[in-house]
Amino acid sequence: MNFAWGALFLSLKVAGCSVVVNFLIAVPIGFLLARKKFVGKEFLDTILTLPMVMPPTVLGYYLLVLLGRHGWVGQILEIYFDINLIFTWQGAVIAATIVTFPLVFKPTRTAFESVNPCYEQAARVLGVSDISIFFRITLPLAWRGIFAGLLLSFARALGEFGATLMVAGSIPGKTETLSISIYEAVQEGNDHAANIAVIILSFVCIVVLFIAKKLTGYKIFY
Amino acid sequence: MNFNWNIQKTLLTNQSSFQLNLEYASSCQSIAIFGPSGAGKTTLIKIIAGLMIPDAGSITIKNNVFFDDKQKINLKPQQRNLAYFFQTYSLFPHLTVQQNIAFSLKKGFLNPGKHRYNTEVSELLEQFELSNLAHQYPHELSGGQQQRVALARALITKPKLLLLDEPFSMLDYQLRQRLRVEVKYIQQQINCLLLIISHDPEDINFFADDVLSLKNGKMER
Repeated sequence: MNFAWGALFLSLKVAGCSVVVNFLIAVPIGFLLARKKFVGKEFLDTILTLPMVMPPTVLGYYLLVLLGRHGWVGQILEIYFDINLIFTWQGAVIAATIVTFPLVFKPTRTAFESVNPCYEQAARVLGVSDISIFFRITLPLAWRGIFAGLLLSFARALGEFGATLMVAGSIPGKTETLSISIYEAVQEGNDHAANIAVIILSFVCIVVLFIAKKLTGYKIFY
Repeated sequence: MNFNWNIQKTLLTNQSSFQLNLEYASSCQSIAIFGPSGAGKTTLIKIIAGLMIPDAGSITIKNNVFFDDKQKINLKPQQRNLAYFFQTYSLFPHLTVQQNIAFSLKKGFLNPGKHRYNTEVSELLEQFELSNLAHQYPHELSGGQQQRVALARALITKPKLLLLDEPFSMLDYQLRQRLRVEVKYIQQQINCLLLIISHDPEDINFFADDVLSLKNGKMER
């Protein structure tokens, strides 16, 4: 029984961290793509959307190649900072972040694009500075879409399996997340443990999706 | 000169191009722009507000240079000290009537509070018959009510120049007459210039000392 709670806690920690990282990276990129014009914008959008359609194992493999002992990022981290991300929970966070990136970045871009520029224009004429306008007009009008995206990414990160397994492995108590523990339990023929983990994971995902739907006010599952 | 501009602007859409080419100088206090749809009236007013940049020329309002391509001057809309009443109202949908009107009074990163009262806001709510709607959101208002909120929001900034794009079109006859008087009264109080776009000859007679007629981006005298 204990390991299910430990795995759930680890899953929540990994998913929570990936949401924070996505908030700091995917939201600003979504804003830039919604508001700035530059060459190759749609190409960049396509590349950033790739994790949505690529098999997580492929993403995991890329990460392994990049972050592993022989990968160029992995080598720099190891030599200069003495950091090894493979088979660590931080590695699982990176995997979950990459997999869920489009789930945050796409709705964020749409949310910012759907804010009618006439409100920002009206605020500019009223003498309010551009940075204030962002916090007083643009963000309040877009936040529902952004928040729904973050919640969706949280739910998706909780269930992340393929990429996480490739990068972080399945070390009980260290990198064995809830969804990986389900696989392991089934492999071992431990149906009871699998049942509990499946019920917990399903329940958490339903709650998160329900909140996301309530917040956006429109259907998010088609 | 109160109003002085000489501007060229070409707008390109997928299929066609539209050329605005206007030169005007006047020492009148209030002017009206008149003309058929698509004549360039709103484009002109947006250029004066700084929301669109002309290709070439200059704009000077009451000896204040807003734009000059030769001197490389282009004031931001925030620096032009004007108020713009949008044809589409553009009321902030997430703020109540009272917050919309008080919007420009609050600087910084936060919007005015829902229940903070300000005498200026209260006075305008009273003048524009909006007191009982103070806590409603724009989508709960009729077209005429939204129009009055937008007018109040523009006037509270005490601008040097007031740009009105069809400000009374959604109001009934009596309210329209009453609000004309209110707007003129406020204009005289804060001593600002007025530029109004309207299709209503009564508006033009009431406000304007001079009338500019636009057609296809050019002036017709």
